[in-house]
Amino acid sequence: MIDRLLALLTNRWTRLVLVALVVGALQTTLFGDVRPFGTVVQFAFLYAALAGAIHGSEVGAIAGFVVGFLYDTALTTPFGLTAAVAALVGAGGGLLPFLVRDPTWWSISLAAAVATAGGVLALPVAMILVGAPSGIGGAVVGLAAVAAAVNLLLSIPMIPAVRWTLRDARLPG
Amino acid sequence: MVLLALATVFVITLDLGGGAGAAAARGIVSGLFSPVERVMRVVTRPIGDVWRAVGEYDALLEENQILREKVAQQEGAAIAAAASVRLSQELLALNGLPTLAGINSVSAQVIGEAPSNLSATVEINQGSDSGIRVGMPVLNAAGLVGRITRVERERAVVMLISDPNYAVSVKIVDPPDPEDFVAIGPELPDPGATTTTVPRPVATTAIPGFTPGEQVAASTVPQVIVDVPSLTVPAGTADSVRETGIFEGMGFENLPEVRFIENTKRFGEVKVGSPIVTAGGSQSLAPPDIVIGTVLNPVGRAGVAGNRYVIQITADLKNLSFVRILLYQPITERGAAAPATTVSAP
Repeated sequence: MIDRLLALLTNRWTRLVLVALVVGALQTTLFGDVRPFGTVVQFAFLYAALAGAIHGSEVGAIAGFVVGFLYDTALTTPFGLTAAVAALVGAGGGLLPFLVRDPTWWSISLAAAVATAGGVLALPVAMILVGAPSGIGGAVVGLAAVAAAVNLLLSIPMIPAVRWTLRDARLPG
Repeated sequence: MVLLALATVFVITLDLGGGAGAAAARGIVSGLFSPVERVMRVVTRPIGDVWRAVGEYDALLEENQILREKVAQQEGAAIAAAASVRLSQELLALNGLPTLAGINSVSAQVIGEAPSNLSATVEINQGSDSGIRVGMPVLNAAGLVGRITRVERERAVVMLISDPNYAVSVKIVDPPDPEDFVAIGPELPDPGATTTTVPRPVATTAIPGFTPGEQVAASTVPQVIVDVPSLTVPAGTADSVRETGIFEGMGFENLPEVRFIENTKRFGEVKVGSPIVTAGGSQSLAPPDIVIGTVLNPVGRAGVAGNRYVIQITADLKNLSFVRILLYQPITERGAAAPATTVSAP
C-alpha cells in the first residue's frame, strides 16, 4: 500500500500537477503584482513551453492544459480557453526537437520565448473565436514582445526545474 | 492530443452555455487551487512590495504632491457637495424612493491585481462570510469600481468596470445651461462701495476731549469682504434632463463607452463633461445614482443605434486600495449566485 502511494507520489504526472499548482499560484499572485513595463508575465505559458521543448509536444500540451486550467480559475475569460491556448503553447514548444537535432539550453530558452509570444498573440484570437470581447488591439504585439523577453530570462532557472519535474524515474532494464 | 482538444472544446462550450457543469468544474479546480494560491500570496507579497517600492517610488512622490494640491482645492467644494447630497437623500427618503444610504455595505482591502493582460479584475479580502454575493456592486469614494464575479469564504474577485465583459445600464444627466444657474448664499457687496458706519453708543463722560452736543462726523471706510463659499444651483425652471444607455468596459487600452444614447428633442445634445450615473431599476446590476464618470467625447456613429460616448471614469482603477461592497444583489444574479459561488476548503 505504502509502496503504491510512494510510487504515485514519485510519478512524473503527479509531479507535473504539483509543480503546476505552484506555477499557477505564482502566475496569479507574484506575477499579478510584478509587471515589467506594465505587462503581466506569462509564467504559465513558460512552464508549458519548456515542458514541450524538453519532453516533446504531447507532454507540453498536457502541462499546458493542467496549468491553463488553474490559471483559468483566476480569470474572467471563458473557462478552458486559457487551458486550450496553453496546451497549444506546450505543443508549439515541442516543435523544437524537429528543428534542432540536439537542443542546447539557449535554444530551449529561445523556443520557450517564441512559444510564449505565440500564446500571447493567440489568446485574443481565441477570445474572438468564442465570441468573448478581448478589448485589445495592436497593443498585444508589445505585450507579446515583453512577455517573450521576460520568459527568455526566466527560462534559464526554469529549465532544470522542468527537467526534474518531468523526468522519467524508471531505470532501464 | 485529440482528447485534450476535445476536452477543452467541451469545457468552453459548457461555460459559454452558462450551464451549472462548467461552474461546478471551475469550483472544483478553484477549491483545489485556492489553498496553494493563498500560501503563495503570503510568501510572495514581500517580493511584490519591493518591486513596487523600487519601480513606483518617484511616480508616487509626484502623484502625492499633485493629490495634495487637488485635496486643498476640493475641500471647500466637498463641504457644499456633502450638504447637497444629504439634502437629496433626505428628499428621496421623504418620498419613499430608494437611496444608497439605505443599503448596507462592507469595506474590503484590495489584495491582488488581475493576473492577465486581457481581464481587468482585482481580488479583495472579504467573501461570503461577510455577506458578499456574486453580482454585488463595488465602489470607492470616487464612484463605481466594478461588480463581484466570484466569491469564496474569505475573498472575492471584482470585475472592474473597464473589463470588456462589464456592462451596466446608466443615465446621462445633461446639466442645465450655465445661464440658467442662480447663486445662493451670502450676497457679496461691491468691493469699491463705501458705507456709513454708525458708532456704538458709549458713555461720553469717559472720553477725553469730548464736548457734549458736538456732532459726530460720518466715517467712510471700505467694507471688508469675507470669502464665504456660495453654492450655484439651477433655477427652478431649469430641470436636468436624463437619457439612459448602456455603459461598457472596453478593455486594456481603451476608455469605456456608453451606447444607445439618442439626441432626442427633449434631451438635446450630450455635452462633454455631463455626469454618468447608474440608472438602477429591477433588472440593473447596480442601484441608481452611483457616479461612474463624465462624458469625455462623442464617437460618431452612422445608423439608428444612437451615438457612442467615451467616458472618463472618476475612480482610479489602477490604484485601488480599499473598496466598499454594497450588499445589494441584483435580481438577475440571484438565481445564478448559487452555482457561481465557490466555497473553498477552510
